[in-house]
Amino acid sequence: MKRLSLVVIIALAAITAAGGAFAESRILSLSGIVRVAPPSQPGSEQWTQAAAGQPLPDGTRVMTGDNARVMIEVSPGNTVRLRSNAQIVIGTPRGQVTRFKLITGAIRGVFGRLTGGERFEVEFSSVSAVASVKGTTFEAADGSGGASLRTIFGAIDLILRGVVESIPQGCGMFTGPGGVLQIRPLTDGEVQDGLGQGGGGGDRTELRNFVDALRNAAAETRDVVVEIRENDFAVGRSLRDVHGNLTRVEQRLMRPDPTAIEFINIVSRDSYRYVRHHGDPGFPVYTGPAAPRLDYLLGRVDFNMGLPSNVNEWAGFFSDHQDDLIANHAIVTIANGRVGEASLTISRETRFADNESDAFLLNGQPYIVDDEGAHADGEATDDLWAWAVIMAYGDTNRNGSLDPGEIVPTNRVDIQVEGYALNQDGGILNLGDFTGNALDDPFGFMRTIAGESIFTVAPYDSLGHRAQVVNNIDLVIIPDLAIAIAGQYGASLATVDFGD
Amino acid sequence: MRHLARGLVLCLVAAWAAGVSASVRDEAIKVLSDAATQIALDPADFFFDLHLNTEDRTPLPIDKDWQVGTNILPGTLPFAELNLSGKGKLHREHGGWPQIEVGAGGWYSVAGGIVSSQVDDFSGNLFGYHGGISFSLSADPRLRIFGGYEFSQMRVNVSVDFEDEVTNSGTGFDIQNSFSHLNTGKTEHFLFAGAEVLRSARKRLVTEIGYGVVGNKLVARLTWSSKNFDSGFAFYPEGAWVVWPFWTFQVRF
Repeated sequence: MKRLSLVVIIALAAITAAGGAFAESRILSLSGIVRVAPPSQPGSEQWTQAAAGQPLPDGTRVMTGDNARVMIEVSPGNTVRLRSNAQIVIGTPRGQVTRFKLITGAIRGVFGRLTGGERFEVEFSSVSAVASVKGTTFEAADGSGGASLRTIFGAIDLILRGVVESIPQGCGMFTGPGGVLQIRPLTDGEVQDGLGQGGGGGDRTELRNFVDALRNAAAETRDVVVEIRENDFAVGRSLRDVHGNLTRVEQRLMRPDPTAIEFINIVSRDSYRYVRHHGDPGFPVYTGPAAPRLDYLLGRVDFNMGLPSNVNEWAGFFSDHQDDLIANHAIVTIANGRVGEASLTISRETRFADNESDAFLLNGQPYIVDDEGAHADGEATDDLWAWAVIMAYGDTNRNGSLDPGEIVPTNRVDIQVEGYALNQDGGILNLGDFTGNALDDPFGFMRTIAGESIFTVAPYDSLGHRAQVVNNIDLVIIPDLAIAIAGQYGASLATVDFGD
Repeated sequence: MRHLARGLVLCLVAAWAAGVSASVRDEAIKVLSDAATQIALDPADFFFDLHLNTEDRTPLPIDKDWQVGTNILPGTLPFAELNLSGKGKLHREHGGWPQIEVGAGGWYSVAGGIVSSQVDDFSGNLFGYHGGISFSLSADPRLRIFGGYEFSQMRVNVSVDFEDEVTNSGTGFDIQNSFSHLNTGKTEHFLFAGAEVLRSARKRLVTEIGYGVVGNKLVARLTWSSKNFDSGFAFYPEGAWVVWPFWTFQVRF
């Protein structure tokens, strides 16, 4: 009996070791209503709002609402993205196989870094089929209309009713309501749809996709925010940034659900060139490609009660509920690429009320800011610029505080933050510019200025040396949306009783 | 009168058909005659085209890693070229890197061996081999482009023993020592490129063109590839016989 136990233990250890490459899945990024529920019987799930970086244990259900998206990291370099109104059940690695069950809706998998015998499997609900993925890009859907599996790149083995069918690149498996199976090449529309989701192409494709997604989001917003006149809450402006790059800034205020407000500031450039104006002389300079790029800032605040759908009523509502209206949760995310595809993402998430917490996430990993290093500003000449270098350490044990073992060079990143106030041509403003016409027509003047914040991140390598090749997020933020809101609802705001 | 008219029409049709068939026949004879002349002038080039027919440069399907195959027509049949070729995938296309595969193969003329066994004073070996590397990249989920390099070698080794029959020709030209062995062949270094279009879940259409840098040799192939049997046409624009249909058997796994 002892020998049997020993064999079982050794076998379990071997299985665990073999599955080491697949860690626990986690949420990489999300937008809109994304809910998770711990393992439970179907129908008795306890759904809660998901958050970026949230680990997903075995059996966890993930569900997306209307217009929502979520990207789940199965293992480094391997992701599954849920489209809107989708639901899956997460599985943890068993041996070298990780299996998700697709309950309903559509998902997209990008598996580029499976090694050796690692496999990812998708189990369908409406048909007895399992798709075995060894390194590919695919799209799978399931629902009352039948199941489908499209291989965009690579190849997939489909185990259907005990028979293995290979679904090569450019082909798809489709079942109708009657369970009739068809394996055929993808149509032009299906291919375009697959590529349009980021399956291939370069930066320009990414730019186009992002803009398309933004337009779709805008269209969807029109449906959700019935009472808000969209034109009043969507603004855009073209200007030059501090480096001289032609820059387009789009801003939008959205209501993903009645209890939340979202603000997005998207910065797009056809080409990007970084020019250092101010900063720590010893800090590495960003030397990335002069390719099209997108940077964005997304802020969201969740309240404990629904806000009036008509923004005209917000001022009075806030006044009436100043004692019982509570912000439960706030998150600000900045990134240098499309949601889920950025190479650098920084988030600051705060939970209020009883379980107050504040998390600083760098590419989904929690960090704690330890100290502020060198800094300078243009106060002496009244020029409106400033920079600072901050040091942060990874909160590897995720306990919310820095332990001595975590304060080591190999666990450190340096972040240089540059801030500029700019005019329309990218020139750095001086306090002297805020005179004359600026005071006569402050709203008009505000529409000619902007702020630019550049976050350059330099991690440290395994030897404790700071990286010389660095990544950055370069945001240009305009005050136009705030001016539009203030201008339109100034009268309403004037009626608010701010008390004493 | 009607019979006369019908007879006249039939005669005219028969005369026209005879003229046409004679024209076709003459043209066919001319083509064959030209081909025969070109083969006689440069037999090695003709044999080299036969040799090239056994080569398969189509990329491995995305979901397969190995391939073993043989050319049935016009290799094994009718030229008795026993041939075998194989290829293996070194790198699956991902991460921006193309599919990389290597392949090699060879053939041996059974006919040469049979003649050698039947004729005492003659021994002949005709054989060839090839090897290369290929890179394939997806331009679209249903379209891949590929290209690569291939070394191709055909050998003809002939030994003739005239000792018994020709001891002294009286011409002062000692044929015995002058022509007892003929070892010749063709070596070519091909650069090739092509495209593969997915036609169904199991069928592909592959076009390719190759250029031999040693002898300025041009080859082109059009291949319909299915699960186990590939068929198509090989084109040698400057060869004695320009178009060869081919049919091959492949096992891919």
